[in-house]
Amino acid sequence: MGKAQITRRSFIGATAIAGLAAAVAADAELTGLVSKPKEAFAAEESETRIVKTLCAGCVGRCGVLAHVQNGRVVKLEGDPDHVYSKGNICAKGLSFIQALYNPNRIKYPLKRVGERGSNQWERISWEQAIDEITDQLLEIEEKYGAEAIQVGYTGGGSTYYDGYASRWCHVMGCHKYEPGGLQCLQPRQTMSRLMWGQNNNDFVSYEGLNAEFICGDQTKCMVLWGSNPSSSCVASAGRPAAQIRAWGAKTVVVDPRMTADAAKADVWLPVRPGSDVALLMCWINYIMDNRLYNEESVLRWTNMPYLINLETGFTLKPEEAGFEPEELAYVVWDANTNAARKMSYPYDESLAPALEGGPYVVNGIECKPAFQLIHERCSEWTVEKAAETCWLEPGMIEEAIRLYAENTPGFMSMGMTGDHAVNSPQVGICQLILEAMLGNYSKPGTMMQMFSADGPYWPEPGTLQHFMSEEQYKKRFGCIEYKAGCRREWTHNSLMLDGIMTGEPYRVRAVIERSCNKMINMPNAAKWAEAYESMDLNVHHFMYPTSFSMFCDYLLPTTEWLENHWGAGLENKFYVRQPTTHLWEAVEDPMLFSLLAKAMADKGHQRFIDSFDPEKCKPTPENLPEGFLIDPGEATQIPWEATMEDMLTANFRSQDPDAMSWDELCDYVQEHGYYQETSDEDYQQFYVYAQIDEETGKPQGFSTPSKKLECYGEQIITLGRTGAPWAFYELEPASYEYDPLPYYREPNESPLDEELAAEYPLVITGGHVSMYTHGTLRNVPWIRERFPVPEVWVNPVDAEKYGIEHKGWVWIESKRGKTQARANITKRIAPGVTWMERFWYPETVGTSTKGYTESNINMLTDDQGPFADFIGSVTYRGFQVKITPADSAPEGIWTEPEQFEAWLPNFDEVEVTDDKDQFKGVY
Amino acid sequence: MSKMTMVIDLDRCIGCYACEIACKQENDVSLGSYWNKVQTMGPYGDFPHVEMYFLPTMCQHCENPTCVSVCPTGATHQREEDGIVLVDRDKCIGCQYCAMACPYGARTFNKKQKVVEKCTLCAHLQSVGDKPACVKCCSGAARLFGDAEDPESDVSKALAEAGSDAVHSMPDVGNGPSIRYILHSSIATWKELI
Repeated sequence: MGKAQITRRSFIGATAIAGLAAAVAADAELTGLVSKPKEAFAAEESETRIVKTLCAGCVGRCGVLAHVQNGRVVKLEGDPDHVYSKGNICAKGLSFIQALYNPNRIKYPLKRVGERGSNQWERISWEQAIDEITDQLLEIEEKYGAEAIQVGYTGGGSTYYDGYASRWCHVMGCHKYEPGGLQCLQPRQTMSRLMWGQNNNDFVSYEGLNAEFICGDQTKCMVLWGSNPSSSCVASAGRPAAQIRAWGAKTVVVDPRMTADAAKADVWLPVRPGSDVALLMCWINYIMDNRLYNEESVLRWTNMPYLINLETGFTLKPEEAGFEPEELAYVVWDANTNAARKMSYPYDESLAPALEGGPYVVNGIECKPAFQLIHERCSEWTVEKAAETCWLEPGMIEEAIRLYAENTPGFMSMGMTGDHAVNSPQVGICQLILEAMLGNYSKPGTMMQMFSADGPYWPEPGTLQHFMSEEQYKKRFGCIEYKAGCRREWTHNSLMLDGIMTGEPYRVRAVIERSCNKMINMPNAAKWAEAYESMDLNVHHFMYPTSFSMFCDYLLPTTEWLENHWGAGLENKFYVRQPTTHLWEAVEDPMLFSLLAKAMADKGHQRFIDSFDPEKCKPTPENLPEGFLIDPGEATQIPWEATMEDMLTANFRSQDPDAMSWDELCDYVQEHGYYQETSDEDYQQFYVYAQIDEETGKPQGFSTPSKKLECYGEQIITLGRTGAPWAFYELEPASYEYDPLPYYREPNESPLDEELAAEYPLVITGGHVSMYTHGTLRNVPWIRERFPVPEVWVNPVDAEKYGIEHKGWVWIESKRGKTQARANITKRIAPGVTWMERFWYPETVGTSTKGYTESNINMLTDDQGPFADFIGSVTYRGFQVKITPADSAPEGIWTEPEQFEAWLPNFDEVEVTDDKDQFKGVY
Repeated sequence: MSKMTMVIDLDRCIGCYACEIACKQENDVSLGSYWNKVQTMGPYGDFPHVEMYFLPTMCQHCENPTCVSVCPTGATHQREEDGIVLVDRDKCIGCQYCAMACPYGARTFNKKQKVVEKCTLCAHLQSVGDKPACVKCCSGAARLFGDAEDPESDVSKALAEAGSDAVHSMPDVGNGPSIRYILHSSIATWKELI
């Protein structure tokens, strides 16, 4: 795949940096207007350097202009050159100035003294920390095998570039786990990859949306399904959503909560949490029943007319039907001749493929068109039944479907909601079927786009997949049963937890952790507390201590994003996250793994020694293990580097020897706004699938085996049997056949279970507010004073029923445990449903609660299955709770603005340092 | 004469609170105080047929500001050239008459500096040709800033385009608030605050 390279040879000049810092006239009247000391204005006049960088406050990576005066970051603003955020910035992004200088930061490597949880630490050097940690890792590997080590990543507060962590795991022979992955984005993304060959597009999947590139002014209908761009990625996704709405698109929001976007929608469907797939199947059924689909799209660009062999579950091949084999040809039932006919790619005008009917018998084989199979599967979901199941009004469902189906081009954007439950892959499957049926792809106004592959560029270091042996690879929890997890090699968290608790198939003994606070991210947190207590070694590499830190033996300081080096290709533009300063002894997270690798090699660990040898790193046939199936990523031959600058430069130059260095690129971006090779005109291409491939003389189609949109996802079946296309090695089949057709399962705990509902009558769901991402920012004064404690939303009907008062503290209780929140009595949520934001309190981490038990929805969630098929998602949303008034707030928590003054910057204690000093003694 | 003011398009406000934080950062507003605060209005109606909108509240930079007339020292004043209401903190004695006189509760008392503060429409940024911080950060592009007396300004054009039925303001008790809010009934019905 072609990718833009950071080359010196050709470029298209980007716009020059717009609007340098506005110097402020130091006249008396004006300086009297703001609260800041007058000396600040004098300094501002003298020298303000503006550093163009990228936020990491959520997945959005918006552009930021950091104003730096005499080495201190004094102000953050949005960067107008950014392709998504366009100069805007959200509350979270702005607040990172207080995160950067937070007195609560981990400043130096710390070693536990006294009992775990006593919060007693001594300062040690990086050299000592790395030496002691690697000694223990080597011992654990020898005693229990490398699989007893796990690396924890992402799920909030991480930088979302885990390349070096993955690389370290591959060399070590261990695995990584995270709260997300299997239940965050990947369920949709893996299905999307199998069905149309690309990631799904939605507002918050990774970065955002450029409304102008997709020609959002031509979008006639926007459906936000469990997607909350105005809270989740405000400037990169909420911004374009607002723009598309302002241009006149109709909008439908499907969400149990009345979000900001729901408040502005033409139709808001407050679906019962966990029942989304029933409603999606109803939409498919209604559109098929009423023939509201785009017939040209269905016939010519999907595999829905193709006959499916009912015995094998796969598309019927021409040779099975008695025709000559032919590449890309399938078999349809021709209505003109009432017989099976071979359909050559891309389409045969002489045929009239039947979409419905059957079974048709072809060469003795019973077959049905894929369209018919999908329709049959969805047919029970009439509007009336969906209304009853999903707790909606039938008329509103019908209005919403018609808005979507009768106003094309448009799009449907999914969100995290669907990933957090037992039907997670089916959400992606249904979305693809719907968008394909309406022809909502690669057109102006749609969200599924196929813009030039020369655009996006992700500077991932080589991850050395081929260092991972077959034996170690297959030890990953969930590897066989939940093969969609092979795509990014995630451990199945709950199976790992079972392993720790029971020893079967094995126990994990050490965790190297780089996410924020696993204690509020992992379901059934109390059980994870037991698991973490049982570990031989827990290491936390983070910016500030969290609940998880209290289980640890070492705390290692890492950087806030304002101190980081990274880059991001967004659309056809490349931006840099360049450091504005460096504080204390923080080490950027990729470099921790480089330091660990160096020490392991120095101690004689052979695979780590090899990982420093460029020849051994090359994915040549002689270096690949037997049976290795995938093509290792680019840049795999780059050895470990000792600095971020060197690692990034090596990465750019692995693709183009003439590429700029990191420093040169930063200078370039600083001057030109961003780096760009492909012009907007070349990048923004529509109807790409219909473009003629010069080699074949036929349309290029989609990146699937059939080159069609595979609404009948036959690759899903193969995934379940072998792990293709993602497994490193061929895997044995899962214990169940993966079903490529959509299906709905009631949530594991359902209000339809009368006995359960009698005790736990309310369905609870979770989700973001605009002030927080994952577990972050609870220690930031501007944010905490505005949203000091989590709310639990209760409809007035339920408030009366359960004696809940507005703004009163309540207990929320499930079969697993109970926790507290402050009630917001509101009609933004349905009777019988409740919502709560997850929370932890940095101010109480040193107490017996460790800050995570007081107000944490994951004290209520269940770690156990049934898990989602294919990928193994646990249920974070859509389970049963009860709610009762509480006598008081949790003890020791901060709720008043002045309490948060303790976390305001104290510049007398801030140490500005050289970011390289930490590597001495290791590198 | 010009009248610099703000138009806030509530059709576009997505209630993200960025403007509150941008204001705090730009003006160094103390914890616990806000010069600009976003209120949630509603939801009104019967579930699920409910309406809701967000309402950013701030100094209304009135035509006839009560706060100016009650100020004993002249600290609170209306700037002649553009009609913005400002507080000169060197003259303010912290008596807080102005805060009591403000019909909108838009003024805050800075306990450390013993002066009253409020939105200045970022006058210090205007002086170098920049826009208020809350306008610059706004992801919904809901905030517009400009001269209400100039028919070609962003604010005048937005009001003309919105149509008079969709243009609202805070209750006027003779003080003549200058901030205008746009809210179309297709999004939600405007609720009078008093």
